[in-house]
Amino acid sequence: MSDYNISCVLIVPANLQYAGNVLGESLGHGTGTYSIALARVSRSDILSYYAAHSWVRPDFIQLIQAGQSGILPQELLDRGFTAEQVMLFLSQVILSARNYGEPLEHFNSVLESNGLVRYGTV
Amino acid sequence: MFGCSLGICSAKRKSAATPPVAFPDFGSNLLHKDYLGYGRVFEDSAGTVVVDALNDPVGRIVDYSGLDNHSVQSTSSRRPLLRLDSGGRIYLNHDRIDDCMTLATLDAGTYTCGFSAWDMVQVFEVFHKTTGVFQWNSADTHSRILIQGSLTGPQETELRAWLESRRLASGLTDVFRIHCGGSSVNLTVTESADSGSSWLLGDGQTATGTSCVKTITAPQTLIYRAVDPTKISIINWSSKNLFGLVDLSKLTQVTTVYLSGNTFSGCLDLTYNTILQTFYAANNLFGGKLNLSTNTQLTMLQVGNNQFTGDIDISTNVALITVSFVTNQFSGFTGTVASTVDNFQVQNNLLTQVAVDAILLAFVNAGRITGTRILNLGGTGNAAPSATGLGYKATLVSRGWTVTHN
Repeated sequence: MSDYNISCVLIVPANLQYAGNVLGESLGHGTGTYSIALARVSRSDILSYYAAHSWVRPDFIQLIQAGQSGILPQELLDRGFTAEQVMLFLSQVILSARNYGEPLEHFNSVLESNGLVRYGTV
Repeated sequence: MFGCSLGICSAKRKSAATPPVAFPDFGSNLLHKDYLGYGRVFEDSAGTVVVDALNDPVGRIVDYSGLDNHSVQSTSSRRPLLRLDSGGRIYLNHDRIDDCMTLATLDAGTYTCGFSAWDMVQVFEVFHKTTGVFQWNSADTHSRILIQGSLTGPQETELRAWLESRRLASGLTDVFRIHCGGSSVNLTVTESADSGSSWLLGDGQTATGTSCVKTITAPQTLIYRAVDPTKISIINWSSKNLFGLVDLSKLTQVTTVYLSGNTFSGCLDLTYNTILQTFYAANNLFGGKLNLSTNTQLTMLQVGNNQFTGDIDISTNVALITVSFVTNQFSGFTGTVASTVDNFQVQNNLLTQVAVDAILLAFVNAGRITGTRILNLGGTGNAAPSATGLGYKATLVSRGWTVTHN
């Protein structure tokens, strides 16, 4: 059985979408990771965040936790990222991981608990 | 375990009494054909890491059209998982958040998609406006087919037969075969007379009559059955955490359908629902072309925030009053607009200038001079009207219309 059993929601402020996508690409995750436009419930007309959802393995969560402590994988060091840059980025990321339930329910609950909604939903 | 699921077991199925259904000959029009199994799916888009376990992400599905038009997803977070359904068939499971598969490039034009899934088989047309990446609809399928252009009737029949052979057959009285992603099911249908309704959940729970209220562990499959589905008059299933493919073909006497706020995918075929008056399906994942030609009694239509493509044509919807096509991928407009249409929202689509002008002219020709009179052609994606179109707009404004455009 697969070990991709952790539902992971990542949300970045809109001004960090590019940085988040570059980081993801540098780690070999492809382009355009953060693709879901979000807005604050209080200002649903302003695009303010971008989100991604992924099924991940435990080592992905460990990678982020290490990054929060300033420990970077070689791929990022090779690309010239500094620990400070990554720590600053991660300090502004909303991260939720869980190993139960449906991904959409997880995603929606993270949005709700952070006062966010999908941007442009009619 | 996995090898058995993907190889040996499918070999056993093929040796059953039912003869295999031949795949139709579409010649060079066949652009993609997949059927999931071992050696046919890879974790990465380059096709170097074979998927060797259920619940692994899928970054590449091998194309068997002969053209190497493999379905790929190069972004890790957007890869669906490979899973086993209740019938023992391998399928692609999307998270209904951001997962999708793509073809790296596809010429602009009209194509026919064919899906085989636990829910049903669907064959529908899509319009790909701009040459480039083609994004598959995020339906959870066993097999996907893509064919250039439209199909003849016999071709569609043959394709449906082949796609049906890829799945376990639905029951004769099955009306809906869908999924529930919440912790409870609370669904009701309204009937004009006894329809003989019953419900069967994937965990074995059952219900009879017009309601099904159950606590479940998500996700669960849900089969709604009716001995006489023509007695169903209203479906009100908005925001019920439902997903899967929708088949409305048996509900020939339904007048009101609410499906908004779920994550249904695939296409919407409303051609059998000839007395439909109110149809709400906003905020789902529906795609393909939308054929409204037989819905002559439709008054309210809300299909915003989906992935519909192609032309808008409401020529035969002569009772239509309020319509929202907001935030889709419609690019064209053909036909006329009835004088009953009072509120028409089509912002955030891909309308060309020709289409924008044609809509403005159609509303001028409709001649409506009373009521709310709102026409919204603005938002992201739509072209601005031409000078001629601006002339039509001026006419509408002089008749009391509020017209928004780019």
